[in-house]
Amino acid sequence: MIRRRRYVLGLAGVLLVAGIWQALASLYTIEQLPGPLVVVKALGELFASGVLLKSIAISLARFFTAYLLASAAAVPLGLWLGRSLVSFELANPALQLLRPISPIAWFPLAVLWFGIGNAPAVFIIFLAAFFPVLLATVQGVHGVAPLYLKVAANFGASPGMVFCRVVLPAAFPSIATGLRIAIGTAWIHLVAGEMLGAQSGLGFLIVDARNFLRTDCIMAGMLVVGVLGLCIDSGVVVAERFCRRRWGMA
Amino acid sequence: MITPSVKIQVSGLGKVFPRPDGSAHHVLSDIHLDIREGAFVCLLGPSGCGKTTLLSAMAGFDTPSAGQVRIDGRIVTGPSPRRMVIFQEYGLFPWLTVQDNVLFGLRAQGVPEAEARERSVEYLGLVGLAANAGNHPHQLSGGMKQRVAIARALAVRPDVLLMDEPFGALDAFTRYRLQDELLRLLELGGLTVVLVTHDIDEAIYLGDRVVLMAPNPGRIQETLAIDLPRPRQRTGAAFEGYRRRVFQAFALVHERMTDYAI
Repeated sequence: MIRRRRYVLGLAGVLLVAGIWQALASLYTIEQLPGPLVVVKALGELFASGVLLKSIAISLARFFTAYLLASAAAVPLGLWLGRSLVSFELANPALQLLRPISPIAWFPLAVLWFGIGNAPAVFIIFLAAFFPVLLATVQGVHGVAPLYLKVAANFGASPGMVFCRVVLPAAFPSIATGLRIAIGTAWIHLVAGEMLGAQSGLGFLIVDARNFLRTDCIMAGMLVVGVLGLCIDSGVVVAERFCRRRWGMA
Repeated sequence: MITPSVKIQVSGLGKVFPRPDGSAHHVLSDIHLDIREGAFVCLLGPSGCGKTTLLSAMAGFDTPSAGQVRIDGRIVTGPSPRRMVIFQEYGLFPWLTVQDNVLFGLRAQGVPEAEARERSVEYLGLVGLAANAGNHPHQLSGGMKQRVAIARALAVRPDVLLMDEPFGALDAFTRYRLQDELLRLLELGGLTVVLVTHDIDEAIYLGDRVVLMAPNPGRIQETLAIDLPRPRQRTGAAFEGYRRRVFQAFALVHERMTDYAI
């Protein structure tokens, strides 16, 4: 009942926004602000020409490549920094210095290093995902309750067992949170990365449409980015719920 | 008659923590205590008297500033599965099932898998939780969680059980039930138990001996042998007599403290 109300209200909210959008659009020309119906038409056009699906496929491939690379680098590094106090004290100030620099600011260097194409976009998404995962992992390891470590020490557990059976699972909820936040930041930076340096993908689709003053296609691209982001996030929520249950935290 | 040997020997134990202002805070000062094999000793006192620090030193979690703890004649330098600690907050791993929690200790000890499984079932049965083997800790009540922690500790067959306010977080009825259950488990024999508590009734009900501790600096005020036959009654004149003696002992502490204040 409550669930159904939530869906009905959510749908009503989306329709309300679309209505306001349509009303506003009627005050302007199509070039200034295309209405939702025009945008849906543009979406159909992009779909029919095959550009849309190709862009989505390329963008998703870049996104997952960069995200997986970032996670594969950040989780082990975070675990290590979390366990080794000396390396943490060595690396932390430098990391805190690098972290507030927007991945976008790296763009000129990225193009210089990697040229135009896949690599700079992947690099920017990588940076966007790397820091949230790294910091959440370090925090997770630092946050392992001393009581758990005491119990493990009391039973005479080996360092390997302490790490695999205590530290890793105890830090997991924090790592999972980092992975989820990183999906959001990576997805946001995907469009930016592709707008700046790539010759394909959803970000490029938007830039390309701008060059032809096709505001309807720009908004169609934005809409697709939003919907895909929502789908990915919902997938993560489901995965997280499964893990929480598996970890006995539900 | 064979006199039981000394199991735990605390001699000249002291623990000093630096205060933020640089002065020394004597958590424990010159503690001497002999605990015989198979005895049940309760450390009783108000917060700040160092009873948990003393237990922690016996467990090997804390290095003393002075003196030492010997168990079976050997100086304690670190934790060991020969002496298991039971914590007030249970210390169960929430990501493991009840049975896997018990198995954790057995696996850490390198007990062969088949035997470990058998033993985990056996000890869960002893605490009446065989049916909950597949549950996760968050599905259990506080009393059940502490039962699991006790089963997990006993399963590795220690000879000393160190309990740090094990029933402090439980409601009165559950606490009474678990106290009785603990005594029943100890009938299996062989265990020397040290239990930290601030509950006077609990100390008198459980202990062969009650060590009364006082703060500033943390020290032993008095040691009281409880000569009551088991099973003990929580009410009755003899029990009341011991309660009165403990109250008197702590009232004395109180008077002395007001003296200092003047």
